Amino acid sequence: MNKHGPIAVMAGALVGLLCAAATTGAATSATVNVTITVLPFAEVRMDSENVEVYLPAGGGNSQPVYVGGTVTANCSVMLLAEIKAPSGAPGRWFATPMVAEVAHPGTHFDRLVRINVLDVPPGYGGNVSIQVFGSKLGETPMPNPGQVVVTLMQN
Amino acid sequence: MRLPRDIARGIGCTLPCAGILLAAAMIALLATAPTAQAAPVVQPYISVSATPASLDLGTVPQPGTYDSPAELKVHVTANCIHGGVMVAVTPLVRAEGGSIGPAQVFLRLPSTGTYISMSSAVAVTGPAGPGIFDFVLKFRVVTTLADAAGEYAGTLTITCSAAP
Repeated sequence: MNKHGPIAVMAGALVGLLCAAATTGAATSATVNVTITVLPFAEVRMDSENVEVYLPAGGGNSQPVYVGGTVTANCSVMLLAEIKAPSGAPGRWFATPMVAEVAHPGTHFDRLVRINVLDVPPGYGGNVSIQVFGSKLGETPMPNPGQVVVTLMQN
Repeated sequence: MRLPRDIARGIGCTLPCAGILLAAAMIALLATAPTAQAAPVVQPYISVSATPASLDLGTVPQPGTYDSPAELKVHVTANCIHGGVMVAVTPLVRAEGGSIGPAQVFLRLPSTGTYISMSSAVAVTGPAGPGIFDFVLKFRVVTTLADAAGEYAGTLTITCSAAP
């Protein structure tokens, strides 16, 4: 008999005894697999709720106006801007997100959105609402947009 | 005297296999050995089961407090005094990284309806005598923006031990 023979026999006996012990007595615990899903979330807060955009004397194109804000999210988001101009408002209005993607939650940007107004005739004044959304790439915008009301001023 | 190797070779199996057979023979010998007193003995018995075996706590719409509508039914049977039922949870882990810690998971006590953090194992019931016990567990999860969007998974363990 080689030198490992007794060890192998004892190991086998131990396994046998352990198996026997495991099958006596009652189960006293139960395990349950648990899952939970956390949905993407984003919230945009603008630093200012109202901004004024000045047109040059005689109308025309404004200088860009920048509005800062904070984006909080539990995922990477793209920013989208949506402009709600009054019906029949003349000219063209642009709100351009200056941040292409927000990767970290709770990030503040000094220049979150740039606002431009083009081709507005003299004498026009009005308010335009801009909403800035967080959105996962290729998905619908999430709720909790930041909002800015733009008041058009004529020099 | 025949060596174990010879015995193993004689019955055509390996040495560990022979050891297992040896243990089985020892157990059979002990089980059938005559005892001085043959009074019947009822062994303590405790059983715990939970339904369902996989619990989906649902979907957290936004960071904050989320009361899951999911219910876990627990069934305990015992023929002896036991020390009560304890429930513990592992961290809920997200495959892409990150986890929701046990301290963020709360268990509603069936007796009072209050929620208790599962940062450590929660005693759902106190010690009790023999009998059948059924109760329903509900859960609350508190998330923050630091808990990234995604699916998380972990394990609940419900334990009932005999009273010391």
